[in-house]
Amino acid sequence: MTKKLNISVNDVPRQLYNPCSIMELLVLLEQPEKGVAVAINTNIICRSQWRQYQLQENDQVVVFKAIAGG
Amino acid sequence: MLKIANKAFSSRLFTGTGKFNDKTTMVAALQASGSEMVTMALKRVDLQNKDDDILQPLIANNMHLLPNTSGARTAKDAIFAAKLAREALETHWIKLEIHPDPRYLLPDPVETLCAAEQLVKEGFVVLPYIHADPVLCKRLESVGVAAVMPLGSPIGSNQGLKTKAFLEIIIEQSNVPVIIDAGLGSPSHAASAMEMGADAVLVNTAIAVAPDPVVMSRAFALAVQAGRMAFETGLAGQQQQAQASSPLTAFLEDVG
Repeated sequence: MTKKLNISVNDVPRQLYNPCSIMELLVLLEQPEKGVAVAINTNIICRSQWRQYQLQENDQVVVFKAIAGG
Repeated sequence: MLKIANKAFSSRLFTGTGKFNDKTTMVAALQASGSEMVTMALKRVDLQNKDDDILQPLIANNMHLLPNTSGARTAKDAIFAAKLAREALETHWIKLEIHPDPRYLLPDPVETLCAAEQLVKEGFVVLPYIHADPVLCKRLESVGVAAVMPLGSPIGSNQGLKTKAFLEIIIEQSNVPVIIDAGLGSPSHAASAMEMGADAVLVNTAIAVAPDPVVMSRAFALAVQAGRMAFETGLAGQQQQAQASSPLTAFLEDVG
């Protein structure tokens, strides 16, 4: 049986199939790879780690994006 | 040619990407401006509503990206935002802006100096947005910022060079490039800043909210070039009394 994983993404609870990497989460969220940054439990995760970093139960994920600005 | 950190720029007009009505207009205006460096901001992704993706066209146009720390109220916030920006845009360049007060958006000098010192130590190319404070500029220079970005007047106010006397001191004293940022409302403001000897200007609102941003960005580009050209050649001196431009030969008095 596949385990479920409960996390939050930008404060919204979300259930995922375990295991799930950051890269896989970004695909699920339909986010582009470029222009995006990810913090988990307030730690910024380097993009070089996105493929191997496996999300853990109760992780609080925040996804940031570059937008227009002055 | 203007050089900031190790990067050379042939255009002395930098532009912001905010406040444009749509992506197509923004791209056309940036192209017309000749700008080689543009600012961007960061925000939490809204997972319900898709944002317009402006990054791809900026990359396609070979723009050097300068993410900002807008929204930061403290040095701690700004350092976090800078690190996020480094991951998001894969650049070490950061426009450091810390403005706790939303009414005037004036930068906090204490937090800015503190954050600048830390970010430089961590390898960032730091361009701090600050008040036109000559003492602060020298302090920032001493901690290793790549340029200083003093304001002409409050962000988005289009009031021009209200801080002119202090900008002149900053330009005279600075050993790093001086980029006049914020408040430039018309091409004449930009030309004036360049005539004073500013190394570059950063313009956003005055272009983005103009009736025709593409034409206005071209007007700013020409003004920046004209101002720089005048500075490089040197302005003619001023004096109190008139001095005739035509020879006063009194020939009319001889007619009669």
